[in-house]
Amino acid sequence: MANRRIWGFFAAPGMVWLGLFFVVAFYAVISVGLGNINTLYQPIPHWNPLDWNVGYLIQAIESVIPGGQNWPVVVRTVIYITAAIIGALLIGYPVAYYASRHAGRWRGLVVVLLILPFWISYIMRMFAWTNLLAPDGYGSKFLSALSIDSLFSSLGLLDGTDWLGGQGITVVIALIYGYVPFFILPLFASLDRIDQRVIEAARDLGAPPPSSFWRVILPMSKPGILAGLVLVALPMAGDYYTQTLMSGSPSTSMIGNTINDYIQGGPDKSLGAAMTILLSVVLLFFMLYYLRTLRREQGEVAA
Amino acid sequence: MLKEFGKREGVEVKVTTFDSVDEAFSKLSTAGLEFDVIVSTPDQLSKLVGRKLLQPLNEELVPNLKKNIWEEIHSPFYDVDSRYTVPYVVYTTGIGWRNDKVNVDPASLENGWNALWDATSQRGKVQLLDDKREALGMAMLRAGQPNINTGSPEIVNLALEGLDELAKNVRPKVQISAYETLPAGRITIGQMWSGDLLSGAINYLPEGTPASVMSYWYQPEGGPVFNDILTVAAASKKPIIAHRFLNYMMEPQVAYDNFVNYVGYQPPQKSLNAAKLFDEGILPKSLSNAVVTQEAYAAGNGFLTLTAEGEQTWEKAWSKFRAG
Repeated sequence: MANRRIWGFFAAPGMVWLGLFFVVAFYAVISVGLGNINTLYQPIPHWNPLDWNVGYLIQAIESVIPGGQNWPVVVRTVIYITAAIIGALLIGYPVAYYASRHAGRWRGLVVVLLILPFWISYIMRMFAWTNLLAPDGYGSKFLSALSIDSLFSSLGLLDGTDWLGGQGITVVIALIYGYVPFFILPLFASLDRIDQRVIEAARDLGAPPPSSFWRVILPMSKPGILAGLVLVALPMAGDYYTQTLMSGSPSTSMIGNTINDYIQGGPDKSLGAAMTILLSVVLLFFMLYYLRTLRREQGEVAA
Repeated sequence: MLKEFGKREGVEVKVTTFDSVDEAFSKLSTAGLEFDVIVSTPDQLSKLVGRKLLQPLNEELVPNLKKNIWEEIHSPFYDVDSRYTVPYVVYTTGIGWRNDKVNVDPASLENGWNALWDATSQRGKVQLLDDKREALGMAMLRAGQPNINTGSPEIVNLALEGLDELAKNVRPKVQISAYETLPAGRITIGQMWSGDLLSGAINYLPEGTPASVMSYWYQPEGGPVFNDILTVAAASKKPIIAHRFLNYMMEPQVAYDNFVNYVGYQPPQKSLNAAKLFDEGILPKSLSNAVVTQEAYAAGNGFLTLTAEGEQTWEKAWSKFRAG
């Protein structure tokens, strides 16, 4: 009992911090999204839930359903995020697997290399790409020397050879690049926790390596994969800066851009806040699914 | 320059910048920050005055207005008798391009704006200003609608159709960074402000790229022309010094230095002889169009505050366009 109180005491500053900077801030978003605007287009937040006005929320919902103004953006966002998390999975899983099980004495170094990108801010890394992928940048020259741009063009993924010219594929690649470390780290931790003896047991019982991977390691790393996917998919859903820097064209705009446009651009701040509420609800749904799956997996392991 | 003013007056000048006029406006009106001087644009003026964020100017404290500034802006359309503002810099909106990469000449077209719609070979390297008034306004001018301050849904929709066609033709980047991306070659043609070209030529040219690769065109009659404004905040506790700052910025030498050495945006100074700047090689000759002449200012068209309904109409069209 005393123990619990002590830890509660230590957790209090963090809880207060979260409370102030997340709960209060989010309540402000809700109050604006469910508020009104004055004659000078400034939002008037309605702090009292009894005064909430669902007009903007309804407008936001109408805009994201099929036929609505933002429906193409929703479809595009889902496609980009799906492509990006598939890419992150294909690139990240082997890395995490190697780092956790086969890196041997290089393990420490590999983990450091995985954390290294965090030393430079996300936006700075994206800015670096805008120079590398510029028409006469080193990156696009390199890709062109390997004929990768013409390969992508012939597959219909790239229009022309200008990577920064409003190409969806560039946005997806940048998203993968930016978020893949967030995917690898939880997966690495999860793979690292698998008991070596379980794999040995699989081998002893006659499972060839591919089969022990498919039937033992992969299922056991599922919580890690899910955690990684949630960690990357949620921020991607609200990301707007990647798109702005790598493309900037309306033909590649994502839902984060739409919200940013509403908030920055004049009389529709309340609509932007309502869109934020809507996006949060959708993401919350995925988060709950993740938590439920996690609990079920843990239940199975315990049983 | 700000330090120089500080030294002269014995004060410290602090600068706060905002990303957009909308951000500035909400912070100015809510945060209770005490600014002395606010730099803004005429289309924001009625909102700033409406919110009682500005104080009327004392004419006697800004003698440089009448002394040094073009007569056209002594009593501008947006602020008759200069009750609240003095002008800061002037610029036109037009088309800038890299003449080493694109072979166009908007001046030779019947409607110069079509140069942007025709730039299909530059797909993906075209800038459209990230500003609903400028973007839709340009589409109106291209469609032969001279009133860029209309709230008429038909005309706004016509402009939206124009922008959609532009998006189909050239897949533009919706940005305002041409001052850097045009000199760097990441865009090769685009809608931009005249000051972007001069600022790009002064500050952002990569080594080995001469300023002469950049060209500029603007619509001489009825094209967008604009100026930024300097105002004194209602909340200012040092209104006299704030006035003196406005006056300082309109001193010929200060305005000249600010133009040529820093911002690349031009002050409407009587003493500023543009031709001389080109002759002396201080500014590249290829960009002579990027300097705003007194005649061009007088013949231009400014963006004014829309009615509430008009603002909604423009915003709706713009967000539709931005959704792709």
